Amino acid sequence: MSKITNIPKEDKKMLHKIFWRFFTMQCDMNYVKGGAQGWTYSLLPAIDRYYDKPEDQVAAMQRHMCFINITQEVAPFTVGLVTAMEKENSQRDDFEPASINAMKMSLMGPMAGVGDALFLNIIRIVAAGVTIPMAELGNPLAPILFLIICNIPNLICRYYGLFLGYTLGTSFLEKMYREGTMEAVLKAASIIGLTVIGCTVATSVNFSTSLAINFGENAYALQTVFDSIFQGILPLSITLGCFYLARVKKVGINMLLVGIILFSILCAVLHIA
Amino acid sequence: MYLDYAIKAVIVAIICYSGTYLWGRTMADRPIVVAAFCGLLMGDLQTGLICGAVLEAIFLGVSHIGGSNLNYCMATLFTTTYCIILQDNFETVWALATAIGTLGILVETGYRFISALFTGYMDRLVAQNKQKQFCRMRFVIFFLTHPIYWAVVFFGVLLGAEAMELLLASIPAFVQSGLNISKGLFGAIGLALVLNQIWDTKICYFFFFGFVLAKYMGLPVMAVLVIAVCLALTIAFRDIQINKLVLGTSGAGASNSEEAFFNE
Repeated sequence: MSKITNIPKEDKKMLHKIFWRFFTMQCDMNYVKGGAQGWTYSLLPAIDRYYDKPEDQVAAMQRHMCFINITQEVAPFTVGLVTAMEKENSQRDDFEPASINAMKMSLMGPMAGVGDALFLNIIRIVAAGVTIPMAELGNPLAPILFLIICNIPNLICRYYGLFLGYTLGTSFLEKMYREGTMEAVLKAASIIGLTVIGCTVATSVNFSTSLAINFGENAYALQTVFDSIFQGILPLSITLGCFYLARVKKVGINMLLVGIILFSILCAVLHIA
Repeated sequence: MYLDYAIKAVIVAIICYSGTYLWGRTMADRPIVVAAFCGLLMGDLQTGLICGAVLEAIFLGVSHIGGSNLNYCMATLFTTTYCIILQDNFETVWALATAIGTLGILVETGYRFISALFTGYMDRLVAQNKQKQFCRMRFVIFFLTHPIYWAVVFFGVLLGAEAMELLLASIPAFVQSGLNISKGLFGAIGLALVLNQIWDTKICYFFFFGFVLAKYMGLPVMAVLVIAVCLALTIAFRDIQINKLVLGTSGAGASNSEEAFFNE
């Protein structure tokens, strides 16, 4: 890791400014520009440093005012890449400026996909799986631990992503994709996510039936029968039922909630649960 | 009467919701954090934590991507505040969470539309190379648009609490007991939606692995997490090794370079 932060002091100072500026990316987001204004704001230290003439600065800024939307946590890699490309553009006459945007656009899709999957989904789910049981028990550390688990990878990825993009450039990404490292990382993350979700279903979803069948004098509680087949089969089935509805029948969260409430009221009325 | 709560709810909205837009995406607008913060400010941390746990489970499958996009922050703010004020009938309040989330999305779309109105002006600033003004305008836009959200939270809490009281008083008993049962099932919704997003038929069986670890072996989440990480790393490293073999690079050289990458 140290070999990518071992760059000239001037460069480092500039990258640090970009790093801090990029935190504000989302504050004026809208559906027309996405995060473009935030990008332009963050890249200003680089633009002012590499381009002396006002027309060049304006051209550079206008390049980055077109729509862009990448997951915030992984975007600094692309920002570092763009900074390196702007530097080349300012130093070489034969550099094609349009290639900067072309590269940005081409990276937008895959990086957003990986970033969303990792940060918006897996890391957040793992953090929630760990801290929801703590919060249920009234442990005030739960939200703090949640923030810590979510933000440490966030910060690491932002900082080193920025430097990686600046020093190693696209060759790093190409290598990762060629060697299948990206796929392996996503697969590992999904495994961790799925296991934690399974654990969370076991602990958070509660449903048992109080139905009993009378054989003469004996009353067999159905719940005991279910438990002997597989513990937790009822909550598991309900969760998988909702999963089926969401995935195959494309039912939305509002309908699911209404459905669960109606189901519960029905169970209460029929004294099933 | 509820002015106190309304002001505190707005403070939480400013710090947690707008704060996470102004400064990185710190996930401080997730229910588990927002509810606990509400509870802390309003003097009922325990209710806040419990609400946070339930709402986080409901909204676990909701994030900024994918079809089910709800403003879980507004939903949490409203429901937690109502729970703290009413101190009873939590399940009924939680049942309204997704509806409030839909309202929140409308508010978000509204203020983002206003932000979009400035794009022409921002483009002109860029064309004239007025960098300092451009930078300043970004934050002006922020402070012009987010107060809309804060206002909705303020009036929603102020006026909504009374409406909630009336609503709860008029609910029949069988609905109440039904909602008690539904409390244990709310988590199923969120978890089902999450499964929908990360389900992968090649490795889906790990879901049942985690389930059994928790249900039969009674392992706490941290233990399951560590086991999962160990397994996942093993599989990932093996995948990378296989890929390198397939690509034709030598086995010994590849494992050395990857160790070097992780050791630095």
